[in-house]
Amino acid sequence: MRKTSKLFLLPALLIYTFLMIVPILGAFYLSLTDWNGIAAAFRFVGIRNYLTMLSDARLHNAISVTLKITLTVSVTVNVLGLFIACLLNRVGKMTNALRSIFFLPYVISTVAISFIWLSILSYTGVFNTILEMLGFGNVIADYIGNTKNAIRSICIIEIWRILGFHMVIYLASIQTVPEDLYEACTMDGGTTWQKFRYITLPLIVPGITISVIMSIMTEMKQYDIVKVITNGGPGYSTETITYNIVTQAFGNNMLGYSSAIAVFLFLVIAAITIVQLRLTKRLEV
Amino acid sequence: MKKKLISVLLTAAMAASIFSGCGSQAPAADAASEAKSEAAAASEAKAESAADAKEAEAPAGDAVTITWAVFETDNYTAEVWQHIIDAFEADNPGIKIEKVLMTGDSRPQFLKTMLAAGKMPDVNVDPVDLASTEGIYAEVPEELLERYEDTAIATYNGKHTLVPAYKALRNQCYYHKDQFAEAGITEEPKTWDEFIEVCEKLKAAGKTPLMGAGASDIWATSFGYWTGVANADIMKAYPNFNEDILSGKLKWTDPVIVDSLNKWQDLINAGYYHKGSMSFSYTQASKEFRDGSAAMFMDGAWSSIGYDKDGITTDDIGIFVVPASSGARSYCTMPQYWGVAETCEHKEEAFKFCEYVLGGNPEIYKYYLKADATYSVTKEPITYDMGSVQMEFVDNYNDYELVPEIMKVVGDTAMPTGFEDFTCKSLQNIFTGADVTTELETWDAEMQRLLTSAE
Repeated sequence: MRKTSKLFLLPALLIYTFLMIVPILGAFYLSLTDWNGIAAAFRFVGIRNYLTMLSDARLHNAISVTLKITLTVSVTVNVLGLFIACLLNRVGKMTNALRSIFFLPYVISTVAISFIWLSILSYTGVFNTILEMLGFGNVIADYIGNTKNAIRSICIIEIWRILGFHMVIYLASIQTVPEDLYEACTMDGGTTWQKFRYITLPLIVPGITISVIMSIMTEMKQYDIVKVITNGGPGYSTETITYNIVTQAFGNNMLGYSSAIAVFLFLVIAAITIVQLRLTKRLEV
Repeated sequence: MKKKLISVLLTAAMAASIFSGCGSQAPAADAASEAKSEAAAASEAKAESAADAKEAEAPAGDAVTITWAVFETDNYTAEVWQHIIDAFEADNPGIKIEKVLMTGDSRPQFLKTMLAAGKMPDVNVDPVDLASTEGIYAEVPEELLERYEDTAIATYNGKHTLVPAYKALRNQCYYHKDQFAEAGITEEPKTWDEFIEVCEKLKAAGKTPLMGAGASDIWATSFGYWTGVANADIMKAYPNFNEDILSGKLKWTDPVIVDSLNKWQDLINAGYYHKGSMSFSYTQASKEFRDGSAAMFMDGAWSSIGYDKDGITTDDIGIFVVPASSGARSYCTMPQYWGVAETCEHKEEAFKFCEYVLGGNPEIYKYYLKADATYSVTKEPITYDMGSVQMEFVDNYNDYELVPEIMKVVGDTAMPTGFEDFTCKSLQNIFTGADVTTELETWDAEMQRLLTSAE
């Protein structure tokens, strides 16, 4: 019986192995070569690509940009997502409509969203036009072409895009908390804050774990919004690690080197996930 | 715990493995050409007659099929390509051309993907990015190469693997004549100082002197100044610049280059460029200029046919070559090529197709050139009727010397793959205030890195 049940796993395991494990191992192997992605021949270069990463200033900048985006977006979407989920957990006339509205940006194509935001944030776009119409012409700014503003714009767009998704995760977690615990707390004279702090928060730790890990993974791989809105610019100011990987692989014909950066990104995400899991494990009740 | 660790690793692996991407964005010629509409009309008529002719002449069942990778823009429309295909098939009944549309924003990446999948199209338009890798394209027969100007022939390791297609003039400064008149400017600037004076007068008259572009169109930020002014400054000082820089005889931090780019930064620091330049895509910037948001725009030759098509004449729009600060009087062109894949099973037929379109049939070659306002590279020049704006663009170069465009040189003295994109980003940094010398130091390092990796 056990053997039979294990056999049911085989198709999924085979598909997963060939579509995921094999390519990842392939990427690791390529990271030890100087393959340009075109020629049939390539040389084994050992850890040279990894050593190159140490002195690659453009990559270091991409890592810094990625971390800034990851930190800003992850913190904001998790705090705001939890707050909105708490508000929308109450039954009201507009609850379902609001839940749908918040979730909507997540189901729209990222590229389509990016083009919409481009038309809003461009210097002569919707936002500055409205400001001008309201008589605030002196405060209009360049939200994409200015080095500092560009990364802020990327963060705002990304927060707007994924906030609904994280809200749904928190909403689902909050709804698993037994209602009688809140009733008991009310009987004991607990305030709304105390209910949240001592009942909701400890019981939704698994949801927090999932949400935080998902947001970190998504932002560490940030590519499409950056590609459409700024193409990594102005200059390199919004280049992320994934943007750098694509540039090295397909722009510079350095597929071996780009594979090394991809392996590095994989290890970083794995490390962050493990640390995060260990930390939140202690908080679970 | 072990199971959990494995599941975490696999999850992270999934995340890390999902990479998608594409390369640099090719400059899309925004203006629709006069030729385009003619092409559409001509194509319909020709398609019918070609189809009739084919039915009558083609031997049943044994036609050779050649796949042809092309891209589409406002100028190179599906009708343009179909017209060429129909004409060729009508004259060569035994050969069928199958169009493969290069989708996405990176043609080199499209071709690399096709190559990796073993489906490389037989004939490629815009093959330069892959041509430096040996074994991708077949050697061009000498008798075909004899048709073309010597300067158009590209050599890689002693081999000629590209068929010259055309040359494209790069850019000049378009300006609104009414804004010049309102600012009291009566003459086009002939020197750099006069150019600065024009900018100053426009600014004093409350106008924005220059339109710029940036946003995700990284190439567009520096395109005007780099190809129009800096290239002339550098080539005047160092006629063999590409050889010298690649051999290490020169550095990118050379005073000539630093000085030229400092002059560009002076224009930016003086507030001559439109404040929103870096947030405009190329298309947006073109529209803003047309709408009169700025008085001048250093723009590509392809725009000239757009003005002609839209009925805008030299009464409204003027064009001048931006005077280089060094006094250099030169201009550059971008060469374009076709390539026949080494994997092509019918190379003879593929080269026959190249020859037919790229000069063998003068009418078709003229049609192809006119579609995007490009110019012939055949020893026997092919010309076509031009509108007033395009005509002025060409005439402005009358007493100018043709020099290579540093970043577009093809063959053994070409810049390494990826370097141009790198420089475009660095020039954006300069536009946003980075120190010129510090930026140029990164050019030397990056060029060496790319050259080493290509060895």
